[in-house]
Amino acid sequence: MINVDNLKVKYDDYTAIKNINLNLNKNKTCSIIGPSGCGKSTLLYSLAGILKPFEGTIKINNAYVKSNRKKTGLILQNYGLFPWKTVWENVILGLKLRKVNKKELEIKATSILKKLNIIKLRDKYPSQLSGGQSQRVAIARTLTTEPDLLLMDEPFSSLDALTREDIQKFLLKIYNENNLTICLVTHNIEEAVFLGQTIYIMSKKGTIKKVINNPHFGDSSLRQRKDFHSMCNHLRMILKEGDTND
Amino acid sequence: MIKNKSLYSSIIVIIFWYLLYLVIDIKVIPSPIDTIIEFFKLLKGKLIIHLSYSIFRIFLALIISLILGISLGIFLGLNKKYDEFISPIIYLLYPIPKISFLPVLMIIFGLGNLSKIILITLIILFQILVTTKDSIKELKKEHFYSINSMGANNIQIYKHLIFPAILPKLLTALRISIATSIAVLFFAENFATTYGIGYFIMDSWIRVNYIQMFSGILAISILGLFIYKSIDLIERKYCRWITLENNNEYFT
Repeated sequence: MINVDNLKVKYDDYTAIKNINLNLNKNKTCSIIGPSGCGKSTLLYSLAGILKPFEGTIKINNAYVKSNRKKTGLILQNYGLFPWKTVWENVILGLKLRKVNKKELEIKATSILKKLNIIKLRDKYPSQLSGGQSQRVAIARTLTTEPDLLLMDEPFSSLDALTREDIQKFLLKIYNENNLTICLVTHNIEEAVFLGQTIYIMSKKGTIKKVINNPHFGDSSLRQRKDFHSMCNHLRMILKEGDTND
Repeated sequence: MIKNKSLYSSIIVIIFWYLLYLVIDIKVIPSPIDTIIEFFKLLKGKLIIHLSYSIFRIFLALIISLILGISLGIFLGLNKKYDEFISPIIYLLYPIPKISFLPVLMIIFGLGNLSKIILITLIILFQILVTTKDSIKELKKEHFYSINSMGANNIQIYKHLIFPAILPKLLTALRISIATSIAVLFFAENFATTYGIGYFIMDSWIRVNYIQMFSGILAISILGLFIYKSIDLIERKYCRWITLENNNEYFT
């Protein structure tokens, strides 16, 4: 599905990421973790086609990514909801931009709002929502366009611990139901382990330091298991190693 | 409810006016009742002509400033490099009382409508330009990323992101600048014209016809009220989210 080969991205003179190689198969998930400023969001925006590579290539389904791809859904840190649109208007925006006819739009959006249990919020504005509700709306907005690839940039960072776990479980459910491929950027170790089948660890220099496979992925009650905590500790060790080297 | 508020404020103003009329028992403050009667009489005749001239000047200036101010404001808001060069020029010109250019404008653009319209345009334009630019700059890059990732074209980006984002501040800018522009128009209409509400008021003064003079003042006040109410209406219809956000801030 995703093949990133020797990617380098620059902001003017500043190199944000370099020597990035990343491969992700269809219907798999990966999490990208690293310290603040390591360029993990840059990597994600490059996958979304928003930032252009300076060197190297990004292919999704064997096609080069040059601009945004129709079937890629992007969920941002601050959810990227428009404050001047109601929940309903926000959710249908993706369909509206694609000029989907009114009837179809109505049916699709309603069914997704129901599925995500936020149909009651349809006439509220983002400023009236809690963090968890906003997050659901952002997910709903992305799902309406029926993506096969979901890119997420620290989507749960502003939620309280319990809401975060709820939404993560919920995401796992959506992943299973919709045959999604998910790529998640995070600085939270538990999140990386819970949602990443493959975990990419980035260094402060903007390179990938290590890739680990996570055999425990997919169990929604993983948090209660010992394996989960030993995996988290393992990841923590690798992240710390980087700090001393830098 | 809102209609009641307007009515209530009008009644208070009229009561104060009436008290002043009773206390300062000189001709320069006419009775509000006489004035209102005179106002409606005049409205059928020459007052409506004078008022139309003023409305025409203000609205034309408004349209020109909106077109120029919004497009230039968006351009500078989106293009940092040009903004760095052009903003200092704007800030240099912004605080100058534009009315001081009236003599210059009258010499260059003649004594007629053009110089007056340009003068008002200069006043409104800067307000709109600066607020548009600032509201674009306040937009988060996430908003652009999120609409880009949905595959929006340029027209859609303007429709769903840029225009809704600038509208609330634009309306505030209009509220501020329209009051100034009416005041300035009043002044400008005292020169080289025989039409306009400013001329009408000063002319009535010279003729010592205070009831007529106050009818003119009443007309300006109603004109202002009408413009403000229209802005409020647009705000309630298209910027509901702003009132909600303000309310939330108030409660937390």
